[in-house]
Amino acid sequence: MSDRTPMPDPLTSLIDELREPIAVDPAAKRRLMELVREAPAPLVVTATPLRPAHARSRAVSSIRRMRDGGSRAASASTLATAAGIALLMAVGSQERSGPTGAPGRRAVIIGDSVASVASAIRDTLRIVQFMLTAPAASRVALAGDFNGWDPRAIPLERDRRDGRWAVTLALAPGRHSYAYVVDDTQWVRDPAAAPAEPNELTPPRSVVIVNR
Amino acid sequence: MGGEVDAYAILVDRYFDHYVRFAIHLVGNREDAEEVVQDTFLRAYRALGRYEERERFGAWLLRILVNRARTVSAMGRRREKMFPEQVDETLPEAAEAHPADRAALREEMGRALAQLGADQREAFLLHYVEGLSYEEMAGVTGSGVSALKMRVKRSCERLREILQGVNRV
Repeated sequence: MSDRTPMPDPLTSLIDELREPIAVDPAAKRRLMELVREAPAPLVVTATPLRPAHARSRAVSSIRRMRDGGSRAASASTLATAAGIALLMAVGSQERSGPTGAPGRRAVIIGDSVASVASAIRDTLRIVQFMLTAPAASRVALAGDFNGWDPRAIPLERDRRDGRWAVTLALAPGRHSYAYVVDDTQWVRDPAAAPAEPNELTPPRSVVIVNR
Repeated sequence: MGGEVDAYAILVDRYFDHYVRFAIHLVGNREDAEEVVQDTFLRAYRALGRYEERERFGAWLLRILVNRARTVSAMGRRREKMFPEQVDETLPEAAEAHPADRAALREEMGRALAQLGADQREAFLLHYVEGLSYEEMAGVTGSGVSALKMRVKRSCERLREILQGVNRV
């Protein structure tokens, strides 16, 4: 007779360990940002405010101006806004950045085509609420590809009236996989969402598609 | 002027630590990993104009990082610090002597990963640690889905052999 607990797959422990956050010296980031400040300005494309029917010709003409040797001052001033839009796309504002049509105001876009210009303007974050009913849980957190699967980074708040836990995040458009971590140890997928591609080693995961 | 750098600093803050961790597992030591991540962010900054906005910024960054890591790994610099040329199949004494010790566990983990080929290690980390689907991995690595599946399968088999070998000691 044997009542030994089956040995867990060693890969599960390995993967858990590999997912553990690590400490990084803040000085490394400071050094990087010093190098960024010294780096040449990124190539940016300027365009006057987009009007769908005429955007192509306007954007193209602006590209030419840049390539034909636009002034450094102009390049520098556009860079500020360009990086701001990059930020908007990846981190940014919760607002939708529509075409900026105010007279005399210039929109500055990174990208090399009209399609990417339009995409850049659309590509803001979206508000997504995650909710799990777990009245017996003491803690619930959210882990996903958007936070490096850190099981502690995004705690949910409990509504004591109905045992629901919720958190609201701003996510970039696209497909995100995630799971809830109940009481620090139990990984559960969202019963209300589509399951992620299953595999035998990672915890159960769900998928949320954030539309543009 | 300066607002653009501040904006980029937020992106750095968001992704830096996470990608240093990934790069350490990929190239095998912190020094090279931080260099790879620094180089990745600098290249990304200079190439912002080529950023394809339909893709997540993090995924774009990851593609640059994987390419830089391949270059560094190919150069073989400082690999001896964590990836010895001659790997002892019986695995480290530290892990045996102090199985509960975190540092020993990490050392064991690093040595196990080191015994994978670079392609297998990369595929394993992207799939199981970064949580990428095979289609996403194909976008990051430039390899086909079936090849990636095979690399992941073989990496799992190899790692199980290595780790179960340690547990039996």
